[in-house]
Amino acid sequence: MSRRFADLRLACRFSSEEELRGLLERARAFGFRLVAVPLGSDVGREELIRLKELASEVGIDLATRVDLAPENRPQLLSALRKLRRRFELVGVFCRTKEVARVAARDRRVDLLAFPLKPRARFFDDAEAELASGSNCALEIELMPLFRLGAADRIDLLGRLREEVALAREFGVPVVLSSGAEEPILMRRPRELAYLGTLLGLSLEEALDALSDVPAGMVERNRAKLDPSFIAPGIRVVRWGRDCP
Amino acid sequence: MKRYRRRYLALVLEGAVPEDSGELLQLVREALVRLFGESGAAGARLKLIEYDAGRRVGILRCAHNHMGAVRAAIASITAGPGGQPLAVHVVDVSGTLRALRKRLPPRVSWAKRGT
Repeated sequence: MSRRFADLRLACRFSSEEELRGLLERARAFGFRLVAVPLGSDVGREELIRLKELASEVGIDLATRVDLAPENRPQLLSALRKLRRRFELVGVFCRTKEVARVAARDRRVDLLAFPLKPRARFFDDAEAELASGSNCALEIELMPLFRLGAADRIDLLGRLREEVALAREFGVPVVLSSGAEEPILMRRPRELAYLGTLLGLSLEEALDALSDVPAGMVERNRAKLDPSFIAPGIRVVRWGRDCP
Repeated sequence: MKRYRRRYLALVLEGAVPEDSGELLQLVREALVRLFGESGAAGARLKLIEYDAGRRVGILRCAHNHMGAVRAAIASITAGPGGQPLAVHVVDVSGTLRALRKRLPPRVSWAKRGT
């Protein structure tokens, strides 16, 4: 069976629906079936529905995603309370260790992202252990790596290899995303997978990090957001008096 | 001497495309050296079989056991010779040139549509 490739962070900015349509068509032509575009936290439910309809016209599945970049624990918890039920994916950009630890422990967080500076990345043993308990995934954006100078890229690649090894040891899922900020930085899924092998992933692992892992995450979250969801494995199958 | 196994990669370029095949090969080689060093680049046995700057397509040959490295290097190219944005996409791979040429036209159709 062919893989259902996903890019959970297509970071290109768009100012109109036509521009978004162009991006989605391009992603579709490249072979992606599922795409998430980071949206502002102020986007309303009607607009989210309209964007999803637009994506389905193009023939691609759009997952709604919000990226949080809190400075401390209270900001993170407050944002999660407000936004978790509105978006299918919640990513947290961890700029401090405090935020990284809280995000890794919280089941409402889907993706952990870190700055591109190796010393500002807090994905260590403790973080990996917390993340493995809450089913958070480590998100690695690939294309921003190639905007760095050689020395910075070498340091960062070394650091990312350590993080991937830690994630594997603790069973933390790894999600690869393009992080493309311009359409010309978008790449086909297999090209991204080959870039993923630079981080110490096998080609199969890299392909999984671009397909099964992100697709499974979106599917699980959609089930949770469904009104019939009660708890993992329990959902309402019928409402009313005639229930046996 | 045993002949090494080859892979032929069909390339489609976008953005500020190189004017001639030498420039394109140089870009790929530089990307390969940047990521895997001179030893890795030497093992890849790169050869640009054909390149049409007007149609923005090309065919690159490499050693089959270095194909992963070559594809990673190609995907990492973000700028052309003048520093202008450039993307090189591998749209198909084959073990023989004949099979690749046969399959190529539909594979590059998305590039002609200007996506």
